[in-house]
Amino acid sequence: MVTRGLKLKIGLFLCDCGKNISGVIDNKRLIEHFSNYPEIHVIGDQYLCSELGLNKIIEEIKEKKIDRVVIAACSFKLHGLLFRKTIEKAGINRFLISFANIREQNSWVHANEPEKATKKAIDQINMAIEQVKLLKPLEVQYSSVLPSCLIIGGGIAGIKAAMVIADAGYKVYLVEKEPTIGGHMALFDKTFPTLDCSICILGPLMTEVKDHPNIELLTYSELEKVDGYVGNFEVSIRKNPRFIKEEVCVGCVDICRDVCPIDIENTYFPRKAIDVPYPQAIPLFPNILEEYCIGCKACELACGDRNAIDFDQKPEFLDISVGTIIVATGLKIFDPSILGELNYQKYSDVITTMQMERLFNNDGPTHGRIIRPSNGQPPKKVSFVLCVGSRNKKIHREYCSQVCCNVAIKQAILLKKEYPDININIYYTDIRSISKNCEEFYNRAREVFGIRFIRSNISAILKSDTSEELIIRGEDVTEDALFENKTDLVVLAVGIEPAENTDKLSQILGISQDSYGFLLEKHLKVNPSESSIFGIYIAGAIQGPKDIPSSIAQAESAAAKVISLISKKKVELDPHVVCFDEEKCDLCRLCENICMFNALNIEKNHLDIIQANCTGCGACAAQCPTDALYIPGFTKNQISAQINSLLKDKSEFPLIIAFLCNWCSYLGADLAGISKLTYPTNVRIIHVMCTAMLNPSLVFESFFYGADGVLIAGCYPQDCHYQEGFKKATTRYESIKQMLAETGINENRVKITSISAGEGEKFAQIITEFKEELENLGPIRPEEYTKPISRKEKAIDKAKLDEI
Amino acid sequence: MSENVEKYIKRKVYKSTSSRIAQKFVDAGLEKIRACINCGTCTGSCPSGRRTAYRTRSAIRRALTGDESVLKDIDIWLCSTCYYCYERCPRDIPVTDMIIKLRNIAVEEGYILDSHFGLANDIFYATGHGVPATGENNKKWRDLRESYGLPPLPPTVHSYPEAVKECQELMNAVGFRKLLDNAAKLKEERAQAAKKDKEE
Repeated sequence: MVTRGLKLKIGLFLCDCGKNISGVIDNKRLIEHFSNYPEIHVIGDQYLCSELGLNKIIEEIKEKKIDRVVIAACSFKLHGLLFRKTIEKAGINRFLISFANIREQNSWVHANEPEKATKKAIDQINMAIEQVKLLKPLEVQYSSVLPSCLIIGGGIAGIKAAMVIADAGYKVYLVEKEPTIGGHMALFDKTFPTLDCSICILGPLMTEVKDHPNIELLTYSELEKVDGYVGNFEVSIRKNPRFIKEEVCVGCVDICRDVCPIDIENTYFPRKAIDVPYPQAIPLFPNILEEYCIGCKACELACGDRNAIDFDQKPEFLDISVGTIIVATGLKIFDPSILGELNYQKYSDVITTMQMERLFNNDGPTHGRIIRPSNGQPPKKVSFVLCVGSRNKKIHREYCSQVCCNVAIKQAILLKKEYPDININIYYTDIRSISKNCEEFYNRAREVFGIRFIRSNISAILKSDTSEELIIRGEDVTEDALFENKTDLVVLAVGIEPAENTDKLSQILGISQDSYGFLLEKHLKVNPSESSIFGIYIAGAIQGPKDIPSSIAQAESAAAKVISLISKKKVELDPHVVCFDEEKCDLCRLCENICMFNALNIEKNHLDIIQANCTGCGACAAQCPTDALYIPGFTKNQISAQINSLLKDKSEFPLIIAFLCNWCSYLGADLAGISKLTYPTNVRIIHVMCTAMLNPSLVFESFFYGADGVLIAGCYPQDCHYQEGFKKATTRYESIKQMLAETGINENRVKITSISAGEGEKFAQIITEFKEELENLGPIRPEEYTKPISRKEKAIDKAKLDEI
Repeated sequence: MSENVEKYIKRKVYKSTSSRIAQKFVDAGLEKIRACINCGTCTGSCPSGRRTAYRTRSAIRRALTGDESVLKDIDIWLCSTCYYCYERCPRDIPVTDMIIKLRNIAVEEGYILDSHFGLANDIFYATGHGVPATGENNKKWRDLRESYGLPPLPPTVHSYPEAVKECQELMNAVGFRKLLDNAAKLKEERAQAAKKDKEE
C-alpha cells in the first residue's frame, strides 16, 4: 500500500488562528520540532482559512513540489472542504490531505495547560502525518439531483418555503398532517408588534399555495418512510382518510355540518364530527373524525346527489421521489399541567395564551368576546404569568421560548383596547421583547395603556375562600415583599416545544435532535438551516423557538439552499465507500450478513459490490477476516499507523485513545471545544465514520503498544446514521471485553458509550472520569488482571474439556 | 467633611461587602448559588415567610453579595426545611441546602441563638440526648413506660450513664465541642465589645 521507494514530500500547514490556537499551543516549538523531519516541509500562518492563507498554501505546494498535505488547524468539520478544494487548485487530489484538530479538540479545551497541549498537538500532527502517508487519491463520484422538494409541515414556514421553491420553477410536495395547512399562525387572532390580523395575512398565502401549479398539497398526510440519499430520496407518504371524496366535494361545508348530531365538547376548539377546522381552511374539505362519528349518515343524506361522502375510504399510500427535503414541522404548546402549583386544569379560569388567542379570535368559541370560562362573565382583573415552561431547569426546558413575553404584552394591549377599564398585571422574571419594533411595543404597553408589570415568578395560583376570584401569590422582588393579589382570570404565557412525534420523524429521516428534541442544525451560526444530513434542511420553530418573522426568514433561507442544490443538477458523493481486493477474499460470507444496505452480494463464487447502495459504514470491513474489504481513508493500516505513531513515544499517562464516530461523537467533542469546556489532555482522538468500522484488532493493538484506555463513542442507537452501526459496535465490544479479560488486561480499560452531537458536556465529563479511573488502575502492564470466574462457569468449562 | 454628613453617606453605602461567604458556598460545592436570577419563586413558595419576616431570596442574595449582616439575622433560623423552594427553583438551586449552609457559617462565626446554644451545650452534650427523659417534666412518660411493663428509661445512653462519655468523645472527635466553644468565645467577645461601645 505504501508508495515504497518513492519519496513523499509532505506539506504541514500550521494555523495560529489569531490567538485561538497560538495563545495556548506553542506553535514556534511545533515548527521547530517538525522541521527536523526530512520529508516534511512546515509552514505556519496566522489565518490559514483567509484568502492570504489559502494562496500561501497553493504557492507553497507548487513551489516546494509538495504532494501530500497535513493541516493543523480547526476541526475539519468547519473548513475541511475549503482546504480540500484549495489543494485541488494546486494540483493535488483533494483526498490526499489529513487534518490535526488542534483547536476544538486541543487549544480550546486545554487553555490552562499550554505545555501539555503543545505535546498533545505534536501527537495529533504525528498521527495526521502517518495517516496522510498512506492515503490514496480518490475520484469524486457524482449523482443527479431530482428537481423537486418535499416539505414536511404546512405552517407559515412550510408555506413560505414552498412558495419560494415553486416560484423558482421546481416541483414541491407539501405534506401536512392536519386537514388544513396554516399551522399555529392560522389559529392566532392578531400578531405582535403590528397587531395585524393573523389570518388576513396568512389566508392569501394559503390560497396561493393551493393554486400554485408547481405545488402538490398533501394534507391530512404523514411521512411513513424515507430512503435514499441527497438528490434521490424515496419517500412514502400515508394519506389518512377524510371520508370525503375530494374530487367531488365543493366545500359548501354547512350542509353536512349542520345536520351532524355530534358536538365534540372542547372549550377552545368546538366542532362537529364532520366539520372543517375553520372557515378559511385550505383545502376547504370537511373531514369526519372516525372516533366520534356514530355512523348515522345524516351528512350523506344532506349531501344528496353530489354524493361526496364515502364512509369506506381507506388510508392511501403514496410513493414519491424527491431531490431534497425541508422539515418545517413547527411547535407544540407547552402543557402547564405538570407545574402543580399553577393549578391549570383544576381551575377553569387559569388558561394559556393559546386559549386566550382562541377567545380573541372571531372564529373562536366566544366569537371574540373575552369571558371567564367559569361563569361566562367578562373579567375585571386579568393577570399574565410569564416564563411558564421556559427557562426552567427543573422540567428540562432551560431555553427561553422567545415569543411568550411579546404574546402576553400583545394580549394585554388588545384587552385594554377592547375593555379600557380592565385591570392588568403582568408578572415577569425578565421581559425579553426581542425582535424588531418589539421593545417599542413593550414601552407602549406601559406608557400608553398603563399595564402594570410586576417582577415576580409566580409561586402559586389558588382559589379564594370567600369569593369566586383567584389568588395569585409570589414575591415582588423589587419591593422584597410577598403579595397575594386577587384576579378574575390568569393567563399563563406558555412556552414552545418541538412538534409532537419529532423523535419518530428524526429517526425516519436519520437527522439529529438537540437535548430538548428540537432538530439540530449543522452549525448554530453559519449553517442554521441545514440538518446533519446533506439534502435535508430545517426551517421554523422545529429548529428552536421562533416568532413568525424569524420562521419565515429561516424558511426562505432553507428554500434558497434547496434551489441552489437543485439548480446544480448534480451533487458530489462521498467516495469513502467500500472497496474490494478480490485476491484476498475467501468467500466466507460474513460481510454479506452484516450489511443492511444490500451493497454486498455473493453469487457464483464471486462477491459483487453495489457501490451506490453502500453508505460507507465499514461494518463489513471490520468483520472481514482477510481484510479484503476496506473503506479508503479508514483502512486498518491507516488507523494502525496512527496508533503506532502515537505510542512509539508515549507522551502522557494515562493515555486514552478515543475512536469517535463522524456523525455524533466527533461533533460532540468539537462542541466541547466550541463551548470552551475543559477536560484533561490525556485523550487522543481518532476519527472513524462509524463505530461499526472499528476492527477489534485495532483495540488490541492499542493496548499492545501501551495505551492505557480505549474509548469507543458513537451515536445513540436510535439516531445511528447507519441504522444499526452502533448496535454492531456494541456487540463487538462485548467480545473485545471478553478477549481482553482472557489476555489478562482489565476489561474496564475499554469503554463504549453514546455521545450525541449536542453533548459536549457529556464528552468532557466522560474523559475526566475515565482518566481518573485509569489513574487508579495504573499504567497498563501484562497479567494485571484475572477475570473472576464463577464456580458454575468453571464446572461447565471443565466438563467441556473432559468431553474433548 | 463633617461627621454628620459622613454618617449619612455611610448609611447609604453597601456595608462590608466581601466575597467571603460566597466563597464558603463554593468551597462546600454549592457554587450553583451563583446561577440565581432573583425570580422570587423561593420566597413566594415559603410557608414560613408567609407568617414571618424571613425572605428566602433576599437572605441568599445578601449572602451572595457578601452582606455579612445576614449571619446575625434571626430570620435564617426560621426556615422549616420543607424544601418547597428547592422543588420549584427554575435554576435547580438547592435553596434549602443553602440556608442550612448559611446557618453552619453563622455558627462557625459565633452567631448562634441562645436557645440553640443551650440545647446543644447543656442538654445534648451533657446527656447525649436531644430530648432527655430524665427531667422532672418527663415523669409522665416514665410512668407510661412502666405501665406497659417497660423499664422507666429507654435502653439508650440514659440507661448506661458510662456511655455519655463515649458520646462526648465522639462529639469532640467530629469537632462539635470545638464549634460550641468557639461560638461561645466569639459571642462573649462581641458582647464585651458592644458593652465597651455603649460605655464610651
